[in-house]
Amino acid sequence: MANLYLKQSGLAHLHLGARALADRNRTDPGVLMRELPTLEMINLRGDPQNSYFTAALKSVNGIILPIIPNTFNCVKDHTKILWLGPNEWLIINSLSTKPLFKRLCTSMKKLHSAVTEVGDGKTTIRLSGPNARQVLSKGCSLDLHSEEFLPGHCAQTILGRSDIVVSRMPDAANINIFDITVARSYAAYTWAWLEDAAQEFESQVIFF
Amino acid sequence: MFLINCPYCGPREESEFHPAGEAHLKRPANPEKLSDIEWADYLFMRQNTKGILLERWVHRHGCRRWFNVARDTRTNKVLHVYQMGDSPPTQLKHIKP
Ligand SMILES: [Zn+2]
Repeated sequence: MANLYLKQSGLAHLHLGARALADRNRTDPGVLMRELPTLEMINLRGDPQNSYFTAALKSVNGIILPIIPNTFNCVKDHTKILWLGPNEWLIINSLSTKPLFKRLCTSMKKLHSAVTEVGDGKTTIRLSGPNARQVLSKGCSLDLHSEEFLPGHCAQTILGRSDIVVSRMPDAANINIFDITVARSYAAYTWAWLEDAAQEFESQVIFF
Repeated sequence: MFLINCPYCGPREESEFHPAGEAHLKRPANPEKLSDIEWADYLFMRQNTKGILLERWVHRHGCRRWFNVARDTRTNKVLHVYQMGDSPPTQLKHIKP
């Protein structure tokens, strides 16, 4: 992991804070866009049939692996475990005060598994609002119909010309929330692509 | 839209996949005992089938797993999808792997 004082979001050069300030009085935006920067992300591989493996995971923050393809599990509202393949998962932890990596490594000792820190190479863009689905559909071949791609579903796929992991977050207010995790080197491209696709719906940048 | 049914992720658009040629090629057990012609035959010679072909594909922009596909090269129709290490489905057994 990069030293904390060197840590910058993959989209820092876009100055989204200033953009959000300019957008703050926008009324009825069809699409809201924001970056979820510097999340801890871990690629995990192992055998989900091995009870030692699953028990060891459970001992770390109660992680339970999703076994159903193209779905993710949540631990409280800060950790997501996404299915990437039959023996591969992506863990995204938004609780920066409680990193998982070292604890996971310790619990996986002596087990046939791989724990790889991948967060510094990626970033996440959150797309929400009534038209978020239409925006994504312009460059993604998945069936994103709201009764097909449900909250709790995720997929590794292509958006525009870039590989992404997209997940639909559970949302009480029934506004679509999509998290798009993309390689840091493609983040600016993906952001620009989304912004272009969202233009007709009036997009608003949010920054926290 | 041309969908391929990834054995792990389910149906996805063809652009997420990459083909990698004929499946079930067997590496000769003792390569050092082969003549150059036999070795070249293993390395380069393929059937170029017009009809049903058993191929390897990889879900490159998805789960990144390899699997086998039975595809009709005349119609581009995918008839069957099965995992690496599995043998072709019985109804396609007559096709020389
Ligand atoms: Zn797949």
